[in-house]
Amino acid sequence: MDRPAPLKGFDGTLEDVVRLCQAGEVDLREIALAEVIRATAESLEGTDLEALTAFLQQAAWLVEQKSLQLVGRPAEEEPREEEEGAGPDVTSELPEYLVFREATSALAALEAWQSRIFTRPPLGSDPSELPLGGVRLEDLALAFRRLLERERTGVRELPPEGVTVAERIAFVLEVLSAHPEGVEFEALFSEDDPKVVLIVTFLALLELIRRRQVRAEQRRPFGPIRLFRLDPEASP
Amino acid sequence: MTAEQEQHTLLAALECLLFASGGPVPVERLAQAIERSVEETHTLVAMLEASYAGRGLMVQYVAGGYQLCTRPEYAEFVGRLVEIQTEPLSRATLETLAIVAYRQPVTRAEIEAIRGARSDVHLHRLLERGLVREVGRKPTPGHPILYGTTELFLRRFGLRDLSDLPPLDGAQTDGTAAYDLLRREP
Repeated sequence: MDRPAPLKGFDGTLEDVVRLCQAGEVDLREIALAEVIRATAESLEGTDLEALTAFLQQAAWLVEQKSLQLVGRPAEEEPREEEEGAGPDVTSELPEYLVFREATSALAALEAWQSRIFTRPPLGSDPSELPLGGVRLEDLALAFRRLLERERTGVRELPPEGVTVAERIAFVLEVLSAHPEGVEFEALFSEDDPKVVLIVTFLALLELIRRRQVRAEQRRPFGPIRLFRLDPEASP
Repeated sequence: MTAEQEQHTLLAALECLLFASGGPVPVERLAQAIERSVEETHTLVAMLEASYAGRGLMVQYVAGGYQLCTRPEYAEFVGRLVEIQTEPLSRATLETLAIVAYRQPVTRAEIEAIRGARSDVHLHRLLERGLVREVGRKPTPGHPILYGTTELFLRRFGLRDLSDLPPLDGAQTDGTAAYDLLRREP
């Protein structure tokens, strides 16, 4: 929250009030909290949801703290609090949240600084990118559609019940591990497999690409798509 | 070969290694490639870095390795040539990332308790961008997934390692004061 909340002799944000209150530098009983909150709320009109969420959390925390100071804690609540005086409860959730807001700002600054630094693309692919060499996801989908549409002849068994993506993941990894030189996309799908197995195998393959455990490559446009097992150590 | 010539060769070789690798290279691997000790390699990289003073390139120590990269002052020029593909993270996603970074290994429920808001979408985005990964399961009922940050996270935020994260004491009055920018100026 960047907009100042008008308060006599104070030109900070609601977040600052929370911080000062935490530090014991401000007595909430002497602040017209409703005024501050109303002014802040007005200044927030039309801003984004994140700022509003932060505002609600801070306002709720302040109101709770002030009511506790005015009325006192209910008797059944931990009597040891009284030995420490009726200061603000620094163990509440909000301050920790505020600490992370600071950390978030710091990370944003780091990200902004580092984004101005360029390196050559490292050998191998950027780990944030999917391991697709010359293939787009659309190409994979197209190849799979062709496979589904291919002429299917002969007698087939009924689909086994409950084939799972996890099972097909294990299957794909096993096949690819046995062939370090790579396997053609079509080779993963047996003509005898029931349709549901083909579909679940394709889902398994997509999942493995997303997990960066399998790399798909197409050396030339419309050429065969080859699949490779990626070294699990290579991905972070 | 005189000692001076030899040093010149090693510095040139290190420059080649860093250029060819692109990303950060652990000092052990550099040492292996130039057949020198790790200590000597650190010294040689420092000399190489000093030789870049006043140039467009610099050597940065990030994610546990050295990398050859452009100086941030010239980002505008590079940006006109190279398309910058990574869009910055949203504030809420960054906040989720901050909690993972400082509290790792951490579960989604723990993140949500701190943020006071659902965070599954943000966690998902961080997983997709390779900044966060699953690091195990918590031995509590339900065995929730534990999350931690990746090497790419260190690289994207220019951190040497996790101990290089800005201190988390909540005493700052503004976010940018949380870390010492000057330390990073060339």
